[in-house]
Amino acid sequence: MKKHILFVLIFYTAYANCQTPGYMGRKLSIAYSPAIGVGLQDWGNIKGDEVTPLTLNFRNDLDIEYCIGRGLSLVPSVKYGTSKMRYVSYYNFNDTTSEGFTGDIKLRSMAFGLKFKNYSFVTLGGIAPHGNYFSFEVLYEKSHVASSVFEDYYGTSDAYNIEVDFDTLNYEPAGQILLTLGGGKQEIYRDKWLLDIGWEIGMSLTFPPTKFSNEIYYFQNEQDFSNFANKHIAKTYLLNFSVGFGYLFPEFK
Amino acid sequence: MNKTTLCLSLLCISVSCFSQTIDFNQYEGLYSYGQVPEDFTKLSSEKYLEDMEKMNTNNTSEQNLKSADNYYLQSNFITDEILHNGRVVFGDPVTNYLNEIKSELLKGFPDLNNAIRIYTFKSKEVNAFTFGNGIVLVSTGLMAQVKNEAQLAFILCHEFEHYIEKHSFTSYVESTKRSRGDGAYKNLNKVALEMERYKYSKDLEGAADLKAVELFKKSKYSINAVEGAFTMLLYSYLPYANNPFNLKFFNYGSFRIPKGYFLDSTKAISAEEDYNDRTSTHPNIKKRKQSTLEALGDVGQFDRKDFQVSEENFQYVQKICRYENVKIYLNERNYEYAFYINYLLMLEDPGNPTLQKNMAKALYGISVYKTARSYNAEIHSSWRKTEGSVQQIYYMAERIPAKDFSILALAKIWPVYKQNMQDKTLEKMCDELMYDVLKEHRVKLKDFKTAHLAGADTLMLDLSLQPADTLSVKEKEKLTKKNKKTPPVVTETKSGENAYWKFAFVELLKDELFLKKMQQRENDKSPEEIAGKRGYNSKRDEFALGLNKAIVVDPVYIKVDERTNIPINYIESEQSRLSISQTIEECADTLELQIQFISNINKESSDVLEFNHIAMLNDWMAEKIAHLGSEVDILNSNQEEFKALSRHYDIEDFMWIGVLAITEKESGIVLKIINTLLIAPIPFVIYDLLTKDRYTYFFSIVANANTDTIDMVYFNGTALEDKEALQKSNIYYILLQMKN
Repeated sequence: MKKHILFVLIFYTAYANCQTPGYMGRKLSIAYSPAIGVGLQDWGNIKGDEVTPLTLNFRNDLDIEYCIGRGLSLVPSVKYGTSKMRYVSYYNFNDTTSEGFTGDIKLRSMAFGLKFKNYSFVTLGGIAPHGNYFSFEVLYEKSHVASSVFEDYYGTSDAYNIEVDFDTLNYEPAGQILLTLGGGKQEIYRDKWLLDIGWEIGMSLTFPPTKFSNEIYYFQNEQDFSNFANKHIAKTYLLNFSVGFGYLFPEFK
Repeated sequence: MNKTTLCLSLLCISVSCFSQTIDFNQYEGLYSYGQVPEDFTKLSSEKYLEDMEKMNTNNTSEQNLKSADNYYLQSNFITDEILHNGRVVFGDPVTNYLNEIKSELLKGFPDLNNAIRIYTFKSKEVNAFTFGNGIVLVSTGLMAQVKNEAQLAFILCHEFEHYIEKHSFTSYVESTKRSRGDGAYKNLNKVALEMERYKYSKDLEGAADLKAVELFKKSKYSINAVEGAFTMLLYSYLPYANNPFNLKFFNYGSFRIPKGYFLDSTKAISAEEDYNDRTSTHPNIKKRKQSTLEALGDVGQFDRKDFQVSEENFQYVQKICRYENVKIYLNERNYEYAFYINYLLMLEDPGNPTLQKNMAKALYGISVYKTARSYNAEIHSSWRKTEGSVQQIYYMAERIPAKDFSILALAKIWPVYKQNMQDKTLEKMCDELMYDVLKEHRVKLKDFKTAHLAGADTLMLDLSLQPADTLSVKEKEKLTKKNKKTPPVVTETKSGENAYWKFAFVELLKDELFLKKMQQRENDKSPEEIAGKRGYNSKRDEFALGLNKAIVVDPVYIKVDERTNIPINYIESEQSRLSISQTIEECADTLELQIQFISNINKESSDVLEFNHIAMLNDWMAEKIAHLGSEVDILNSNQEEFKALSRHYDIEDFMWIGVLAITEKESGIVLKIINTLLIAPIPFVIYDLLTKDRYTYFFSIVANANTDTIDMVYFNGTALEDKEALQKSNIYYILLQMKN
């Protein structure tokens, strides 16, 4: 994996070996980009006989873009996202423990990414940071449970010691590395305001995509839950649309 | 050099650049003088609005109003585009003379005399044309061909009638009807519509001829001029004279070109009056002669003359136009034709330095293109397509091998250079030809003979007498076949001790400077080390020119909307053209790059110099781009003028810049809708359908006057609207590459 990342970095650094005009010499910008994605992972998930509606995932990105070539810019970013796991069913029964949970779990994720935005001067005619672009991003993401809502789906039973609050469970989802590919169009107004309309598709390298399931999330121990949660978060990167608002800093001389 | 001396010399350069008294020994070109007429200073949009205001809207149908609106819009902008391209001159001796003839013809029509404005159009084409607003352009090609003032007067009468009868407007209305398939044009196919177009045009031309006769009869010009004008038009595809080319022209000392490189006789002139004019815009010459002679009736020749204004002036301006045409032919890379016209002028004035230099430029041009193996493909027209004495030049240029031609050109140009050793262009030409001979053609200096063999004059002159043993079997067969129809194939003894070209420099090698330069060139190791061998590398897509200042030449901005009936958005294009200068200025300021604009739109009447500069620069660029397109690295024929201009502004680098913004028609809608079945592309398809398909193209060329080279070519095509940010982004990048 490291080799791959190294290769990509070397490739882009070599590619960027040309003059950097920026926009009128302005190369640095900061942008806030709310992104929205369709919760495809929940599509067809069932609650009894009912089919759940589509859910939406929200993400807030803070990007710092710096132009490193006439058609290339580097964007370190921080992403803060939320997503809901619907109708989670967890139980862990053994000789000493008898605990379970059924309901919705809201996850929060924090990711740090490094994006390359290629305005591709040769093919698209873009001069960073203005114009149509393609992007490639490497992300490290980690999520945690924000809250859970107990639902009495199975009904109360004396046989189970039902945990009402899932948060009290001692679990820690593992971090994961994701890759995204995207595109968009960045406009500049009055020489300093940025508007970036974009899209991206992504996948996790740590938790490769599996087929969509319309079954209830169902797991028996914390490790299972951690895997499910990470896969769930990974799927929130499948397809996203974003609108970014930014500011282009004056040229530093 | 102190500041005062520098200022004085710059002033002298600027004055001498475009002085009104034309010195044919140092002919610089035909340029504008005096106050810039309003035709050139007023914006096209203003002219269009004025025309629309003048129009009487009462009792005019909506359709006619629409036609008039479109006509005034397009005609004003197209006319102005021609007026500003640098080829139209005003206030010059030719224009002044033409306007004197106009006044003579329209003595009794003061309003008409004021309404019609004549300008000279620098073009080799034998033509005159009239715009709907009363502007008449007369080409230098026509001026070079007419035999007297009376012929010119009749042609002007014809053009005046086009204006009086509003032929330009009626043609436009008719073409609109044709394109819509209105009335008589209903259900006609494309071919029939095209034939109708020719027929309509011929009718208008015929009518203009007859009306012209009426106007002409009121003048005191010779009646014979009417028929003479048509005869002149019949032969207008030929040079203005048909003097045989002297085969001894290239002889130098005892050096002779083999006779086999010349035709025994040239093709007879085959012009016919009664040609098929079905697909012509004008009736054939026979019909035109007949109809005008009938209209002339029995008008007597009494008191009528070929010259009313001035015969002396006619000869003077015709000479200017002939000199100008040589420049145009050189500029357009028609070197053989330029050579022959120049030869005709040399017959009258053999020692004229301008003509000597023109000859050098033509020979140099042919030589460089032949050496680059681009001659046949890029600039040469077969000798078989030509007629008359000029055919000899085409034949010779085609038949003489590249190596021999370079040697011949050098042998002919060196004496011209020796007569004017201050001339850097001639020196550079000689340097390059020496390099071509010694390096490109790999001839050794020692191969050239330093003395004539006894009897060499006669030994190698006629290659058709060459022993057959020197030819291969294939060549012999070819020769036998060709001998029946065409002159003998010229072949030379490649390794022959006495090959004719070895004697080309016998006289020149006695010249120490020539020998020294040849030795220097022989020691050259790579083409890059030779002056003039530098050039633009088309493979580069990024530049760093390191400039501090530059001249921006008349920025171009064209906005096109393919979804409308008139695709070019003239009004917006004009506004953008004016505003882009500010954007360029802003970007240059950010980069601290000094720029100066030369433009000929929206100018004051005193800015005549800028008009001339634009004209010269456009000519230079047109020729350079043609050379670039042929991938031939060659000195431009007008590079000295470019240098003079550079000295005038004290800036070496000139930038041409342009923007083309296109809005395309939405295409592939069905396919896009089908795509939505895949669900995922839905947002993209919706976005695509809701937004216009816009493309913006930027181009820029930077040329250096000192080196006569194009140093940078920038082109960028984007699928974006031409908003301010896109303009700034690209213009800044262009200027950055110039500055860094």
